[in-house]
Amino acid sequence: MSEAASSSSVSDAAKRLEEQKARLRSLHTRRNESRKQNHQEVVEEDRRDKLPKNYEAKRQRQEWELEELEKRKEAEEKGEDYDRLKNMQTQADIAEKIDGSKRRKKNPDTGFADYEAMTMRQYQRLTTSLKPDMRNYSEMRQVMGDEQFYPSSNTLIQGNHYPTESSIDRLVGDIEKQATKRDQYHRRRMFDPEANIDYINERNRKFNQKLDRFYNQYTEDVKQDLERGTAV
Amino acid sequence: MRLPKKAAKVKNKAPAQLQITAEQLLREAKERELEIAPPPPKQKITDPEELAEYQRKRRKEFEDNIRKNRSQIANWVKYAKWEESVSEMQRARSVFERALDVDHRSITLWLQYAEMEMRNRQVNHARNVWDRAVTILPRATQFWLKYSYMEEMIENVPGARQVFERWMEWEPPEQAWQTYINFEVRYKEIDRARNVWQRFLHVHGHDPKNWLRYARFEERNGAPSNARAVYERGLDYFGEENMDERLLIAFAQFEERQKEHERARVVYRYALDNLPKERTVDVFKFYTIHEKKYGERAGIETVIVSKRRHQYEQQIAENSYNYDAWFDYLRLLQNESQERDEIEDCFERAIAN
Repeated sequence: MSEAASSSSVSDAAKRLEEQKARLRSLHTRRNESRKQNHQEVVEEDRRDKLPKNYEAKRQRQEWELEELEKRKEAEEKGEDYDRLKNMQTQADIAEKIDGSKRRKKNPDTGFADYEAMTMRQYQRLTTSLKPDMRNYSEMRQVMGDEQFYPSSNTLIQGNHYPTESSIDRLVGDIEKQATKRDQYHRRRMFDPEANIDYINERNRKFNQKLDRFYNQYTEDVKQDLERGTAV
Repeated sequence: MRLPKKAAKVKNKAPAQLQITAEQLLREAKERELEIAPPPPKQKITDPEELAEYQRKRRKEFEDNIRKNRSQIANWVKYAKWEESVSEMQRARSVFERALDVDHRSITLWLQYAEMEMRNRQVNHARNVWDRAVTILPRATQFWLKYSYMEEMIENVPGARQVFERWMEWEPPEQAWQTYINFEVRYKEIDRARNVWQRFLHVHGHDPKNWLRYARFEERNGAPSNARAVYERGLDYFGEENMDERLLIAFAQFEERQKEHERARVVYRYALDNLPKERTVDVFKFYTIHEKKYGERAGIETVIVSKRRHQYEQQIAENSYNYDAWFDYLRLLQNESQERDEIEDCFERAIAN
């Protein structure tokens, strides 16, 4: 009896051992699983952090544009006017806002026309960003009286105005800003070591550049023929 | 010196084995760098005498350049800029004055001179320079613009105003007047802006676009009655012979915006009656749009009928044997059930041809 009991206790023990081992194994697997999943999450988060900041917005915009293209193609196949369709589906006030923003001037730079136009353009840019000091203005008007404040071309107001230090500072700052903006209009070209040397001198190089600027548009073909060695 | 006779007799006239190309010649010439002088040794200036020596040397170089080429403004400007950079204002001024003696019509010189004074906080000197520049070259808009801008920056608004007044005496182009008006508007002086507009129209009233702009300005600044007066004055100014359709169309559209539809109709009809045939195309377009938006069915129909009639009249006037045009015209009249007399007249005319 005791043998059976002891054998059963041994088998019990063995069974318990087995169970414990099984439990331990399952715990191990669970731990490994969790480790693996954690690691994957970490990698994923790292990747998300490294993406450029506007990735989401950009992707959405690209998708939207793709949809627009497809819809446009469909409309063209069916023979409808896509713009008209779109207008019918937008709300009225939003449509008005879009119209208004289009009507507002964009003012792109059209390149050099002549010095007067350039100065006028600069003047308009500077004055639209000018914010006049209305309080000082009305004070000055009170002090000076209307005769002097609204002069014609003959009234004598020379020498009546003594500018304050702060306004002179403002003038000087503005002049310097104009100078820095002027510098932006001419950039330094990089040195090209592979360019053909057709000069013997720095002065000669500049002169050749000038000639190229004026004559290249007419002599392209001839130059290419000479380079190749034979006419086309 | 003449070469010895032996050298003149070339025995072998075949090309040499080793040829040289033009590119190779140029490359070799450039690489020799014959004209590149080594830079002078760098000297540290330690006391006032050395400084004076250095400045004397630089001045001598500048004066030499000027002596070589007096009319090249860049020489003068570089000299004056250098004097400014060593804070010798009086010398810089004298350089500029000498340059102006050479060429007083050079705009860059005046601009550089005034800018130098402004940069060095010499406001009254700058004012003098600008005054002289503006007196000598009154048609250069840069001077006026920069002068008034300087006065505005200094917060001398009456001074800027006087500059503009002086400028307008020269009756400059439209854009100049526009800058003056924008200036007044910037300081919220709408009445003065109105005055300027009226003076502007005295000078530049021959272009109907300017009338339109003025009326737009009045409308936008909340005085539609003034805008109406402007339109009417514009119509008076041009009179019957020179009527311009843009003015009339703009007037009618203005009335539309003011919700005065009857007046708009009157204006359109006046335009149709008084303008020669070629210029009525736009009038018709806008009239039909207006009627479609605000008119009733009868109105729309009358407009369209009169438009078609004009078209047919034109076609018939060109070619009185254009049977298609005649038939279309007659059919149109019949469809719209016009007066019997008119239809009969039309038939008569067709037959008379």
